[in-house]
Amino acid sequence: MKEHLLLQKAYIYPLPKSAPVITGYTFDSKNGYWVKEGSGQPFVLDPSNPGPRSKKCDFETGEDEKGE
Amino acid sequence: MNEVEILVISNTLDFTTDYVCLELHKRNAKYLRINRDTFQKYEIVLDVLKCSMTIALDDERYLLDQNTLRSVYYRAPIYLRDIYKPKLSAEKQLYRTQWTAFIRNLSIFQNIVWVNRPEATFRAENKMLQLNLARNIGMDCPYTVVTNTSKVEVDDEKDYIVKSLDTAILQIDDKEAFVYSNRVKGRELRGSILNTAPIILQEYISPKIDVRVTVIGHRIYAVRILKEGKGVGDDWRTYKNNIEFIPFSLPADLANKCIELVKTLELSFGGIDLIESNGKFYFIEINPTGEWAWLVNAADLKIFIGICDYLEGKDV
Repeated sequence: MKEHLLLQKAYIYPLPKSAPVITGYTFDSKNGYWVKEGSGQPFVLDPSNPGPRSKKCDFETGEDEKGE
Repeated sequence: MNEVEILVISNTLDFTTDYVCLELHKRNAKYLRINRDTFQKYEIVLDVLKCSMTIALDDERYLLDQNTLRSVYYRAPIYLRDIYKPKLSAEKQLYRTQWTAFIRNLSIFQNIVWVNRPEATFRAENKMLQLNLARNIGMDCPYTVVTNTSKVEVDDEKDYIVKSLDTAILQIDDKEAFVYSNRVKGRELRGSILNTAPIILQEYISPKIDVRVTVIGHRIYAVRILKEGKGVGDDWRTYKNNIEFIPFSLPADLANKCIELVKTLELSFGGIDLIESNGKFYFIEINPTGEWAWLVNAADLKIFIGICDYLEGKDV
């Protein structure tokens, strides 16, 4: 049976297996951001972290799911 | 007891929020970030009638009181689109529904700055309303209909944009699916199944350059979205690489209309999608919870500074 047009056009991808693990960093709950273990360098300022590249993530959650 | 002036509601893995907290930390602001995925670590008591809340976390205690709390950065969905996740345990369902209701109810803190107030976000997420209001304040909008019939009047040879009315994340067998904006010929529409769910059918504007306008208070951050120096014909989000975000200044009249639209929707923040075509700008939609962090590195736009200024009451 033919599907709805939006289903035909949908981008399909494998189910995300689990939440990503941020190795080598820890979440500093007092300051509210991730830091590198040892140096305390904030994750988002670490040059080795490519950072958010677009609003499209590896798995798409729309713009309002906020890391859901 | 730590008195909190700025509350940040987010998720541990939301790195966008890291930019804001890092900036607030630099400014020695009295802020607290709470994460929706670790509520079980907090001991929360909210006195509803006094609008006063204490939160204990690790060895620290925090006080959020209506007399001293100044602002809330609400980096969270206002409701969860869980119907595509049928395998959630009862415990998880309870956690997600009840904590989501909890943070939404923090709108009892009324006389403070919100980025954005949840009830305003709820209203503003309606795309038809957005288009109507944008048109009312004088923005150009593409011809748009919402329909569930393939008998809708279309030209066989013309291109149209077909998209969902709301974020559409679906589970299909053991996979997930996401609906982007799709370019479709009129003749394909005629032969399509549409009756089971409405779609947005929109005039396809060509040539086009996608423009993203991030508004926070009275500040505007605008970028053109290009691939190899040209506009992207399809939904640019489907391209992972080689997309450039080039900052530019919007014409003053359009910038004012973007700010006015955000205000009209009772928001303080919005990510507005425009299309530029032959020197004219068309309003497409506004995302009250739009992403912006990718623009920090890709376009050197320090949007977090604007957000922190707003939260501190410097641009309200």
